[in-house]
Formats: sequence, C-alpha cells, structure tokens
Amino acid sequence: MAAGARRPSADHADLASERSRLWRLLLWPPFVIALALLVLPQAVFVWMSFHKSLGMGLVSDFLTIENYRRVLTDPFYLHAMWMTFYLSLGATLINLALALPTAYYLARLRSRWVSYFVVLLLVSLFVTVVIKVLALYLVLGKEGMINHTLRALYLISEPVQMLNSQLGVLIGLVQYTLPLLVMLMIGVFQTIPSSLEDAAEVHGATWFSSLSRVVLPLAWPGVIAGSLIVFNMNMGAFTSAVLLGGGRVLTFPVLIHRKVILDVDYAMGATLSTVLLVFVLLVNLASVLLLRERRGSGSQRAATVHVS
Amino acid sequence: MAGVVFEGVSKLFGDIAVVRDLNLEVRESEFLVLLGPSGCGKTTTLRMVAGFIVPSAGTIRIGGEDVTRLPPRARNIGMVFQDYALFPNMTVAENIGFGLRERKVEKSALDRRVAELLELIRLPHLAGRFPSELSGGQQQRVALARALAYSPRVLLMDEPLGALDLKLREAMQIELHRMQRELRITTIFVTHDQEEAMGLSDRIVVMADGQVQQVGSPEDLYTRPANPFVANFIGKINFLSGEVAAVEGGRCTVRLADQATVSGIAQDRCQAGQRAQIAIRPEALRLIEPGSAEFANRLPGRVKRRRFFGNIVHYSVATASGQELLVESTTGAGTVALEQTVWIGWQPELTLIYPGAATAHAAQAASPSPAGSLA
Repeated sequence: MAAGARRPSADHADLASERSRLWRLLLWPPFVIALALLVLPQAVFVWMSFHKSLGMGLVSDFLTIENYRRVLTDPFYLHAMWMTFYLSLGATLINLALALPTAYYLARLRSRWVSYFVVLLLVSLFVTVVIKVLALYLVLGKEGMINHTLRALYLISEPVQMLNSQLGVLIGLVQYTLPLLVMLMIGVFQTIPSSLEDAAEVHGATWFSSLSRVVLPLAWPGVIAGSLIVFNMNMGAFTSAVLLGGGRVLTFPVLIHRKVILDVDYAMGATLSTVLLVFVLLVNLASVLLLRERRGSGSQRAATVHVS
Repeated sequence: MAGVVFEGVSKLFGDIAVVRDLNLEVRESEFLVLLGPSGCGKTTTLRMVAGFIVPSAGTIRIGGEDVTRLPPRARNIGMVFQDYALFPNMTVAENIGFGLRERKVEKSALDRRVAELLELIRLPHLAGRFPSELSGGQQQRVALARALAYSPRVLLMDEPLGALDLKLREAMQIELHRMQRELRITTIFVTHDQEEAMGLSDRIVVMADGQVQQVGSPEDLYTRPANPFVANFIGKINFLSGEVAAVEGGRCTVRLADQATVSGIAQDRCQAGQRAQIAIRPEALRLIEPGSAEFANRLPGRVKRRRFFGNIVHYSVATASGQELLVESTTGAGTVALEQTVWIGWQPELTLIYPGAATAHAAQAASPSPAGSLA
C-alpha cells in the first residue's frame, strides 16, 4: 500500500488511541493527590523512624536503627503486636463463620428482599464507628443488656467483664467488619452459578459434598481476599480498640496514638507504624503466595471479590 | 434403563399453574423431546424429573419406582445443563468422574470408566484440561460424559445445544443421536427448536401453557397436528378461516369470507354453520393453470413476493379475501412473475380442518399473517 494512503481501520485505531491517551491524562490528578497525601507523609514518617527522638516531636540528625531494635526486642511491644494479631485474626475468623452462611443464603435467595438486605448492610457500614461502639457500651456494660439477661436467667452471679478487656475489643472488631465481610462474600457466592450446585446434586453429591467439592473451592480465592481486607481493617482499628479496651488493651494502633499524641514521640510512633505496616504487608503477601500454591497451574476460574 | 411415568403431575408457582395435569409415559430407551415456546412448562417438567422441583400434585415414577419426593442424588439420573455447568475447579477427567467418586467407586474402576467415556466423546487427549480451556462443543461433550459416567437410568437434557452455533449444533445433534442409539438410554430432551426436535427424537411432546398439546412421532405431528397450535409450531403452515358449509363423513367443506369453498379432512367433529380453521402446508399448494381441474381446492390470487432458496422457491400469494398464502414450489416448476394473477390448487386430503373458533394459540399464531411462520 502506498505511503500516506488512508485506511479507515487505521484512522479508527488512531482515534481510539487518541481517546485513550486523553483518558490516561485524567489519571494524573488522582495520582498526584495520592502522592501528596499518602506517600509523602508516609515517607517522612518512615524517615523519622530511623532517627532518635529528641522529644517535643523533634528528631536528631543521625540515622539509627535503635528504635526498631527496641520495638523488636522489648517484650512489651512484641506482646502488643501478638495481641493485635490474634484479636484481628480472631475477629476475622469469627466474622467468616458468621458471614459465610449468611452471604451464601442471601446470594442464593431468589427474592426481591435481598437487595433491601444488602442496602441495610450498606447503611450499617455508613454509621460511624463511634456511634456503633457507644451502642455496644450500653449492651456490654456491667449493667448492660447481656449481663442483665444472664443474671436474670441465673447463669451468672457476678457480671461478666466485657468492657475494658480484650473480649470487648474482640466484640468491637467483629461488629466493625462483619457487615463489610457479608457484602464481600455475597459478591463471591453470586459469581458461582447455582447450576453448578444443581449439577453436583443431580450427579450424586450430598449437600455437604456439593459445598466442599464445588462451592467452597470456587469461593476460596474470594474468601481469602475478603478475609484479608477485613483482617487489615482489624489490624488498623483504632476507635473500637481504644473505646472498648478502655486503655487496658494496648493494641498497636492504640500504642501509636499514645506515642504520637500523648508522648509526642514521633520517632517511636513512626517506628511502630512502620512495623505494623510491614507486618500487615507480610501477612498479606504470605496469604497470596499460599493461595497461589494451592491453585496450582492457575488455570482455574474462580470467584473474585468485587470491591466497589 | 427405565421408563419415566407422569401421573397427573401439576406444578403451581403461587397461583400460576406452570404444568397442568401432565399424564405421560416415556418409554424405555426412548428419545423423547419436550417441545414448546418459552414458558410452556417444559423446563419445569424436566426439573421435576431431576428432583429440583417438587410437584404440587401427582406422581413421577422412574422404572416403576415413585421418585416424586426423592432428592436428586437418590434418583440415579444424568443431566446436561443449558450452560453445561462443568465444575471449573476440576479437570475434564475429574468432571467426568464426579458422579462415580460421589458413589464411592474404587479408584481403578473409576479411572477405567472415565477413560472409556473420554473415548466415547472422542476427547481422550483433553483429560487433563480445565473446562475454561475447552470450546463450547467440547464442554458440551464433557457435560454429556459426566452425565453418562455412572450409567444413570435416565438422561435429562435442558436445551443443551442452545449455546452452540448452527454448524456445531448440527454436528452435535448427529453425535447425540449416535450415542443415544448406542447406549439405548432413556432420554428426555427439552428444546424450543422444532427442527432440533424433529431431527433427534423418537417422539415429541408439544407443550403450551403447561399443557400437553400432542404427543407423537415427528411424522405424526407434521402430517396430523392435533390442533392449530401444533400445526403452526411444527413446520410452516397456512391458515384460512371460514364457516362449515357441509359435512360428509370425515370430510367437511368450509366457505371462506369471499364465498369460495375449500374441502378437507375434519380433525374433529364438524357441524354446519360452525366456524372453522383450515390449515395447509406450503408444499401442498401448487400454482396451476386457471382452467385446471386437477385439484379439488382452488383459489385465485396475486403473487406478492418470491423468495429463492436454491432447491425450493417460496411465493407469497394474496387471495381475493386479502389473506396471504405461502406456496412452496420446487425450482424446476417454472417461474411466475410478481403481481401476476395465478391460481392455487391443492388436494382435500392434505387439508386439515379444525372446527371451533380460533383458540388463543391459533389466533396468536395465525393473526400477524395467515402464513404464520412465513418469516
């Protein structure tokens, strides 16, 4: 073909690429804003964590890993990390146990009510954590509904200590992330066609076998992804931990808050933040790697979490 | 192998009867097609046999055993789904072996049977692939093998060829037909495609509005449709309507609006003065010389459209009363120009007369144009 000959298809391709270039320009503002608000402060924070605190929010000029040595050797911090981890994991597992059956049921329910339920879940996500935690205060307190009921039933003689304890924080974390996990899991189960379960059943599978051989293996990647989202939120949960722990349950987010706001020790606060961040990243990375291992060739189709 | 018997089976969803008082016997080793437009109750009927839906009334027996309330897994039936429903997390071999594994079949026997089925569907080289790596036709065959693996008593198929393109669908029809004859498994096949139904089945059950309209071989349904709905649903047909003028024996004569008369075989008891519908297949109609007395039924008309299909030609001919008749003629029979006045003639023996006012179906089928399935 002669040079410069105009082919309609080429014109079309040019137009399309021109358009996609325009769209790509639109990605820049959010990128710059994200850089300014998230990456830059975080970088400054990480930088501070490598310096000695001089008090009053100031740091010395010399690089040091002393802060990290302290966090990673002091039993107090190690215990705090361990507690943050097992409370988050515990809340995630409890939430999975609660969310999976609920989400499965809602995803399979052929009723117009399902969308109302999902909207209700969404609304409960919009209610600020402070309000939800204060409501929990009323329920969990010494004279709260639960203790009152248990005593009325003569199941206990002394009120159960739930507020200002790890149990309270655990309940708070469960309450904090349950609606989100249910929503994520509804999405996961909806991507698994119900005809697969019909097929399993008609070919001889019991309900249990259809779940364990077909539904759960397909849901697995989505379940892991959803669990990680919820776990990460639990690891960073501050409001629930500080209010329901009452200053006695010192999870990492609570410690960071104390270091930065009360002690004005930015260097240590920054170190704790960085340790938490790296720890959470490692947990996520390990989960993804484990998942990849399990999925083998990676040729399987699987349900995915749609986070919108 | 076993037959399937429906005794007074009905299914209501709320107040709506999706299947009404179904009485039907599917014979052993038979290939039976449930045919009907969407919403006629054919899929509900199939799902009742599978056990996904419990009938509101009546009994379903498989091989004499009452299975009405048995769960699907206890029925020992195979099923091929419209979307194939292959398990995406399992290989082809694992999919085919699924039913055997659920039946706790020993590993070596299972492997042998899976290999046998891979041979049957001619895909032994794909045993280790995952469903997402297969074409539509291959998935279809794997779904079939999975349903046949444990030698079920009955094979159910829910529009299994609907998602395939035309060429592949025809090839799969031949393949299905071969396998069904080879295995002699009782098969119930649901489709809305009458050509597919004609090509595959021993017998067809035509359903509409949850009721059986007619049961019979493809030939029966084509040559002796029980009512205008079946006549219209199976193949192409022309409808004319008029009033019964005379009855003698099994024959009756109908006077059309323009006073022309047509005689044919009464499909039900006829009475003079009654409204009646006349149904004639397009290939029964001939374009004839004006004076010809070769055919007892004759109508004048004007050629409106001509469509050439290679071996056959379709003419649309408008009669004096304004109705259009579809005439199918072979290519060698000479050509007729548009707007030319012609005579159409046909034998009374090939004329079906349905007494009674047009039923809802017939009206629906015939109203847009007298040659209902012209398009």
